[in-house]
Amino acid sequence: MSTAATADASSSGDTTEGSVRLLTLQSEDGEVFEVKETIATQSVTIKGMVDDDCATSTIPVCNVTGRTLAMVIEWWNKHEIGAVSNEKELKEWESQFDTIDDKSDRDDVYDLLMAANYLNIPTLLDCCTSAVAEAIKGKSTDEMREFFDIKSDFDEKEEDALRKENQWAFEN
Amino acid sequence: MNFPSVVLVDFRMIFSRLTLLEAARTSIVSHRWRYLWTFTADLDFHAPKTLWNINAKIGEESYILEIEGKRSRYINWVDKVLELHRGKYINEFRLYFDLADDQKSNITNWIHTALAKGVQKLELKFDRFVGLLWKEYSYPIECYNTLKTPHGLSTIHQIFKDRVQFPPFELPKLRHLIFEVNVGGYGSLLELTRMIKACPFLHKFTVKART
Repeated sequence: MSTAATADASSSGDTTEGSVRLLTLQSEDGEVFEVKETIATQSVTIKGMVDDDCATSTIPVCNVTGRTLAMVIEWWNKHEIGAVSNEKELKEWESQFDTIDDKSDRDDVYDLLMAANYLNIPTLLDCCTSAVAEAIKGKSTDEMREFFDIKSDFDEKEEDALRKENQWAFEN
Repeated sequence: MNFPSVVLVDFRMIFSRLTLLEAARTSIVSHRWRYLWTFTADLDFHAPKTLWNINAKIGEESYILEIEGKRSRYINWVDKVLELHRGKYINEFRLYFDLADDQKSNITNWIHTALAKGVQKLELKFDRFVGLLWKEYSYPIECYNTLKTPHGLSTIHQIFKDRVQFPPFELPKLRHLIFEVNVGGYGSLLELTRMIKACPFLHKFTVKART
């Protein structure tokens, strides 16, 4: 037990120093990406695989397309320590993700949310959930349904009753 | 692509970013959305339009009756939301309405519910618009031990019209204390000093003048 722990500590020491290990990620639609281990471990899921020595062969990233995975990698690159000189620049760059203007933006955030959830990337998850919350704010019920492509499954009576129940929210 | 299903994955994170009013408006979007709003973590019981309507009617004949009706509806609202609330935590808890000491048991119960869910910032803003014989809400002395929760409150914001009503007690974890006091009605800041002494980890102390 104790020797294994020592070996682990020294090997992880190596990767952070000089020779950076590359991980191979494969998207759902078969696209292959080579990513520096130090960057990809921003994903808690991948970090777990690396720590358990399960990241030696190609890592399949289910439910994430190549297009989305490329965006995720772009995210990782920007969020690598030292990649961006200051916080303000990073926030400015992030702002392209945190507002949803139309349905194509919305679908991108949807895909990123799925990826951030599957790969467990706290910073990206934070940004995407904030984007969705911002999109909900200030919308009427019908606007929300239209925006999220939801068909109401309430009949008129039920909806009226609910509206009454939460009257404060609609009056103020 | 079915957006709602993914929203549901992270709905706790999404709804904890919305105010109570914003979140509650989503309850009628569809059956799946009906109770998602109850995960919101900032409970701001603020009803600006209702308060504005009350103010606009001061002096009218039916005013007292109307305000009593609105007050009991406000109380029901807070009760109902706290009953439905499914979030594990409450970060901020804010009450702002025409309430006074005659609603003491309701208010104290709400504060206790918020404390039990680890509230960090507590804001009480009460105002009585009409009437002569009324007392400001004061937290019951016998309950002060409850305020010493494991996490401890980080912020208390209470509005005082006339005087500080806190008896001597300790809030070891309190970091931010805000008082809003009426300029004319306030006697001495000395009473606040006693309060500060009871909060050894106070980082920020704000006194706001109210006109």
